[in-house]
Amino acid sequence: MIVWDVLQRRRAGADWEVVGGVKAPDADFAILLARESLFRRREGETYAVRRRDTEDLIEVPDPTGIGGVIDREFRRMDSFAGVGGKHRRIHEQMRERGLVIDRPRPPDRRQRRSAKQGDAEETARA
Amino acid sequence: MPEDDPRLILLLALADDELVIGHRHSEWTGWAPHLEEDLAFSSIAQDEIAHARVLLELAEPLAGRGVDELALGRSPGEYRHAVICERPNGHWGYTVARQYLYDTADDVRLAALEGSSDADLAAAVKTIRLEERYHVEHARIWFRRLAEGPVQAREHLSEGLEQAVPEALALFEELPGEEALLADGVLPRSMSDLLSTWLVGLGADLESVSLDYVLSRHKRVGELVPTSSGEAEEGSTLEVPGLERRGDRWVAVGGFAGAGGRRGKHTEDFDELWEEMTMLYRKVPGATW
Repeated sequence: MIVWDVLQRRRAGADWEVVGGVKAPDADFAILLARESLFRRREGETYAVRRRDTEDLIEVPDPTGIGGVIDREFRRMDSFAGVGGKHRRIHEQMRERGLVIDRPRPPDRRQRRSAKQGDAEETARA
Repeated sequence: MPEDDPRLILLLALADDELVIGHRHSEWTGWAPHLEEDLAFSSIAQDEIAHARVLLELAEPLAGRGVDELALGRSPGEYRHAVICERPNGHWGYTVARQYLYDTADDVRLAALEGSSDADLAAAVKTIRLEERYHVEHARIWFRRLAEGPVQAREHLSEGLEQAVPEALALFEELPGEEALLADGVLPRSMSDLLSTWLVGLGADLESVSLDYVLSRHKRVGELVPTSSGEAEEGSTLEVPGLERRGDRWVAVGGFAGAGGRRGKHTEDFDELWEEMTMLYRKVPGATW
């Protein structure tokens, strides 16, 4: 997979600045994935990608609607303030109601796989 | 809830499609093929659920129930989404096929609804479309990538399409009370008319990657079984509406016998999804974050 630098222009007329990178098979994919990975909260006015170690910038054709147009809390950084405290409060409320999260969701396939692998190794050893 | 208000039925159909497919998409969080795609697909899932909220806000005064109650407090048989939205994700090929079919179909109906005589709905749809165009772009890029990709990727995509196409047609199943919606201009074009438009684009896309055979070879999708989501009518099945090639375009022939999603009839897959989606709301009514 090719590594692409992602650059943003914070305001109209501002200089390009590197804000991160994505792995993608081609420029179309890189533009698509960069938008969702790095511009989820309206971080810039527009953005571009550049294959790492090259100079050619490929700008997003139409930056309208970057970061979404429907205002939802998850789009704003301040919505994530105090999340730890909320988790603890809700955990406590759930405990009082006898509700306990006792396993990961979705079922942890990696754990099952490694457990299966462990069994196979044990069988082989036996 | 006034079950027979056609405008409410339309809003619930649109909102429930977004809500339910959004939940299915969110199940890829942590499991998508690579990290960036994981973020992208999770982001699309959040968008879809946010769109459901916008539409449910319009439904709220008609239903006399709050947004959270509409989203999470209904029984399975009260949901009006199309059956394709509730199907499990399966492999990535099916997921891409379904997202491509769903979002291109959604684009056709939203484009029509921009001209709705219901000004609130038209305005909401206009805003929603600004985000939906990215979903269509995402779906198209993945669709082409898999179709032109290694043999195994193409096989997974075609298998996904064969499975998803019949149920995708039912996204355009006639709505109860559709005649009234058409007469009032709330729905500017009939569902069967929108289906015809969608099929033209679908046929062209599939032909461009030599996968149009899936339109005539799609799989039968099985029996509609009675579940807690609503009673199946006697002898009803998820019968595949036929597709026929006429000249250079594909057209739908026959009806949507037993499709039923718009009338609250769903499969056991939705019972499982509903259990999980509404679990917290049911266990802790009125909980706030």
